[in-house]
This record gives sequence, C-alpha cells and structure tokens, in this order.
Amino acid sequence: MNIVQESESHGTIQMIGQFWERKDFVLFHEQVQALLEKGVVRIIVDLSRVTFISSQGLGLLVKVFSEVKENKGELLLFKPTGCVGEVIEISGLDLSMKIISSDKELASYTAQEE
Amino acid sequence: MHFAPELVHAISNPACIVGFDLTILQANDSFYTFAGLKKSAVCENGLHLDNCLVLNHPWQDDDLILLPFRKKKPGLQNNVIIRNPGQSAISASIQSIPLIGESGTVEKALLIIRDRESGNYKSEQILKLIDRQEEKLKQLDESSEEVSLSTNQLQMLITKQHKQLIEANQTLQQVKEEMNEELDMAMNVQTSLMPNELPDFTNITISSIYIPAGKVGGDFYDIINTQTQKIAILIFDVSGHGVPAALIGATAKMLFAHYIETLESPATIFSEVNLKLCSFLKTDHYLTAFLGILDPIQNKMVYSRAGHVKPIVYHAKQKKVSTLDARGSFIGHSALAQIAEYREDTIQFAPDDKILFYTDGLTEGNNRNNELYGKDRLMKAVKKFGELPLREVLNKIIEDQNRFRQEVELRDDFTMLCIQIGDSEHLLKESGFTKEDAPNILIIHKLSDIEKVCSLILKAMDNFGFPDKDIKRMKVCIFEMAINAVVHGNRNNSNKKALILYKVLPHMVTISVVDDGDGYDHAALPNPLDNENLLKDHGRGVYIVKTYMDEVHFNKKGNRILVKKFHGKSNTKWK
Repeated sequence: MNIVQESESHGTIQMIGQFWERKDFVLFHEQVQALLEKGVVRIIVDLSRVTFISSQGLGLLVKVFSEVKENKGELLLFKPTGCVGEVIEISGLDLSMKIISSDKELASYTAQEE
Repeated sequence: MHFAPELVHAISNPACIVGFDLTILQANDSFYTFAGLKKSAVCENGLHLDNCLVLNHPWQDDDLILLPFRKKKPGLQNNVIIRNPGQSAISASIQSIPLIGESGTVEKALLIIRDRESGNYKSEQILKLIDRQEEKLKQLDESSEEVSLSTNQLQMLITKQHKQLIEANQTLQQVKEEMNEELDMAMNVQTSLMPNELPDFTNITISSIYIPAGKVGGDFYDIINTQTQKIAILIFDVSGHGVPAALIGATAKMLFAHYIETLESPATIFSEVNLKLCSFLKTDHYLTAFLGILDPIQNKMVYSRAGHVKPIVYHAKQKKVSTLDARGSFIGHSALAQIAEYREDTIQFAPDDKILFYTDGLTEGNNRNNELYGKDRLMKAVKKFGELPLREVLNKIIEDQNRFRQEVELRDDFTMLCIQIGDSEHLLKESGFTKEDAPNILIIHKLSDIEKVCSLILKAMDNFGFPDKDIKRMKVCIFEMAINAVVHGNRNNSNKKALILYKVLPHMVTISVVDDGDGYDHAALPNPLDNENLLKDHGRGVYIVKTYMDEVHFNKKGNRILVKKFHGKSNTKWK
C-alpha cells in the first residue's frame, strides 16, 4: 500500500494496492490528520488504484469520515472499483459518504461546491 | 677419542720434554710386549731405582711411547728403567699423561721420559716427532675449529629452523583458526538448512533433536508441506563426516526439496535424486534416506527407504513397536546410478501413534566394551517411553543411550525426529468436513499468515476455471473470516491458532475457519445498513461474507464459520 498526498486547494490522498494491514491504516490516518492540521477542509481519498480493502479498512474510512466532518470538512471517496466498490456498497458506506465515480463527476462536484 | 688437555699442553710446549735422547714408541699391547713393571731394579751403573719398567724389544724411530695406564695415576713423576735390548739400561723420569677415551675413562698414558743422569734432554728425533705431532695437532685444531665453526653454523641453523618452526606453527595456528571459523560457518549453514522452526500442523506434532559429534556432519532432515497439503518427512545421512558430507548433504537437501514439491511418490523422488546426485558426485560418498509423505487427514503415510535405518513406530493403542521397511538402494553412489530401485509402502496410523525417524549415529553409539547401543535397545526404549510427550520421548532415549555408553564419546552425530499422529476425526468434526471430503488443512497464527493461505485457495479455484469475479470475492471472504478468527476469536494471541480447512472441487469451494476463541452469536450481529450503524467503524465483515457466499454456516459455539461457493451459480444476494 502506497499513499501519495497531493496538496492543492483540497487534499488528495491517493492510495495504491491493498488496504488491510495495520501499518497502512496508521499511515492513512496520519495523512488525514496532517491535512486537517493544515486546514484542508476537503479531502479526496482516491481509491481508483486500490485492489482490495478489508472491512477494517472500511471501518477506518468511516472513522476518518466522522473526524473530517467534526472538523467541518468533507471526505470524498474517489473512483472505488471492482470489489472495493462492491464492498463499499454492500456495507452501506455509500449511504453516509460521498462517492465520486469519475473525474468528470469530481470536477463537476468541486465546481458546484465552490 | 679425544686428547686430554694436559697432553696438548705438553706437546705444544716442547721445553718440558726436549733434551732426552730417547726414541718414543707407539706402544700397543698387540705389537709390543713389556717385560713388566718391576718394583725395583738396579741399573748397570749401580743406580738403584724403584718401579722400573723394562722394555724387551727394540725401539723404533718416530715412535711415541704410549703405555697402558693401569694402576698409576696420571701426571705423577715415576722412575723407570728403560732398556734397549743389547744396550745398557738407562734410568729416566717419566711424565705420564692420560689419554681419555670416549667413555670418559683413562685408557692409556703418554710417558715422556727425561734422562736423570745427563740432564741433557735435547733430541732432534723427539723434536721432529714433536713437530710432526704438533702438525697433527694443528690439523686437529683446524678440524676442531671447523667442527666449532660447523657447530656455530649448526647452532645458527637450529636457531633459524626454530624460528621457522615458530612461524610455521603460528601460520598453522592461524590456518587452524580460519578453518575453525569456516567450520563454524559451515555448521551455521548446515543448521540453517534444518527446519528452524518445525512447521505447525493441525493434526500432527513434531519434535526433533540433533546431537553433533563434530562441527559439521552428514545428518539432515526436513519437513515440507506439499502442494496437496500433505506432509513430507525426510531424513537422510551422508556417508562420512565433516565438510564434504555437509556439502553433499546440502546439495541433496535442495534436490529433495525440489522433487518433493513436484512429485508425491517417495520412490520416484528417490529415483530422481539418485540420478541427479550420481550425475555430478565424483566421490565415493553416498547417502541413506527415508522419506514419508503423510496425509494428516487420512493418517496414512506412503514411504520409501533408501538403505536408511528403519524408523520405529509406537502403536499407542496396542503399546507395541514396529519398524517401517520398504527396501531400497543407497542414493548417489555412481555404481548404483542405473540399477537403484526403491520400493514404496503405505502404513495406516491411529491417533496418538508416534514415529521415530533417526540416523545410525544413535544406534552405533558404543560403550567401553565396544558394544553398540543397537536397534533392539532403541526399540525397547521407544516402547518404554512411547506414551510420554514427544520431547520427553526423545530426551529419555538420549538418557538411555548416554547411560549405555558410559561416557564414551560419540563417534558419529545423530538426529532424531519424532512425530505424533493426531485425532483427525475430532478435527474434522469441529470443522464441518468429513473424512471422505479429504479437505486440505492450513494453520494461521497471525494476520501475516493470511495471504499465503488465501493464494493457495484462489489458485485452486483458478485451476478449476472459477470466474475472476468469484475469485476476487472469495479473497474478500477469506480475509474477513481469517481476520475475524485471529483478531476477534484469538484476540491477536499468536500462540493460538486458527485452522483453515478447504476443499476446492470443480463445482464448489468449501472453506471452514475454526479459531481457538470462545465464539460469538452471529445471529446477534447488528445490520451495518441500519441507520444507527452506518457510521460505526466495525461490524461489516460477516455481513460481506454472508452477501458474497452461497452458503454460510456457524457451529453452535460460534468459533467456526463454514462457507460454500458454487461454480456458475449466480449470486441471489448481490448483483
């Protein structure tokens, strides 16, 4: 699992590989905290290159979602694909979190919000 | 013989002897006879002398008087009458000088005679003789110097050689230390080739011990999980000892591991390893081996024996012992390359049976009477201690052999590997499988074990042509079930184990995960889709498994989940 963070007007955390090990959970959480400390209010979690996520990983996304929300921010899940998209849907994350399925949708969403 | 110092002094200082007109004889008992030493004699001129010596033969020129020295003390002035036959006897004083033999005792005396009456001692003949003697002495001195020089050279040579010896010794010591270091490394390499931690199997327990007789030896063993989840138990002993045996052993071990991965017939594996070893072993080394492939569910073992000592089976129920035969040739000896044959046999074990694999260093340990510990004593020990836990069985056997040896040092290293058969019926009952299902069994202790287990199952599914989508979904389910078992069931206690039993058939995959935990009530798990649960950070795993799988079953205790996925069946719970 690699996490690449890009800082623009919003913060993007791009995750690559599998997301189920504790060390990756810690790293991801630290990245989110760092963005929040910088005052970034919109965090985009790019899942387009994530091939596998466990239910613990899903639980962490929900937890982080709540933390960002508490900081009056917003956390978006970007382009979850394959089984990752499926388990997000099966476990109902899409009911509470914003899922962005494409670049176009992201551009549209961010433009609308701004 | 050497000259006494006094002689050397007397001859090199002629003043003490010159002036006497006297021929000096070289006296020798075999050439001259003496009239004898008379106590007293009266000279013709009327002089009365005591202790006279009378010679009864004509004197010759240039002779040196050397008289046998008997009772006279050397160095004393003695009066003798020396008479030349036909001539008048003369009186003279003599100086006797001892000649010392090699034994250190005085053998002869040199008599130097001075005329008492004339007082004129000058004699050209004597001087000539003395000169000649001096010349001889000079030569002797030179020889002595040469000898002395040679002695010095010898001393230098000895010193030099001593120094060289010390240097050689130091080099030897250094080489010895390097060899020891290399032997230590070889030992480490050999040790690292043995299973560091014996693999954890569900249905059998294993214990092993290696007793070295030197730093490196020819004993090797290995426990390998085969591709079909059977357990290969290998033990072998290379002829000879030391580094060559260890090197051949390391090579053989690699070959065995390779063929065990691809073949599951012990006899075939032996044949292949034999051919390979024969093709590149150019020494007279060979190895004996025993290989058993154990099915931990059926408790059956197929085995072959390549000239190795027969393993001993302790039949727990009958409390009896027997041996495993299946005859076969040695491995790796060029003479046997083409003619080696290996038989194969099968044995059915019962729960709690124990099998002792060993190398002949154990039975060939001898006592002070040069009697071997032997197979019979070993079998008696196995029978006597067979009911004890594995490790204790091994320890008791070692104690027994030590007692027998009476502290006689081991001549050969030895290895013991003991396995105990478990109760597969009970295990299967827990898992939800039957013996006829013949599932594969894997063990996990921690999260990092999951990926390997998962890849085995997914690979089997792929081999049967399961759709990629189902394989990916199965991966999610295996992870969820295994994580649940390790994290929630065993509470991350790596001393506890979770069993994963699986069977992949062309039409169906069945997986059972059993943990050591207290279990949970799956029916009481909250629905993650309920509004109040949407933002909870847990409680989704089982729900996902239930959604993906065609069948999900829990045992009553709640520490086992069994799932089934049918090939080609569309999921009614998920799009």
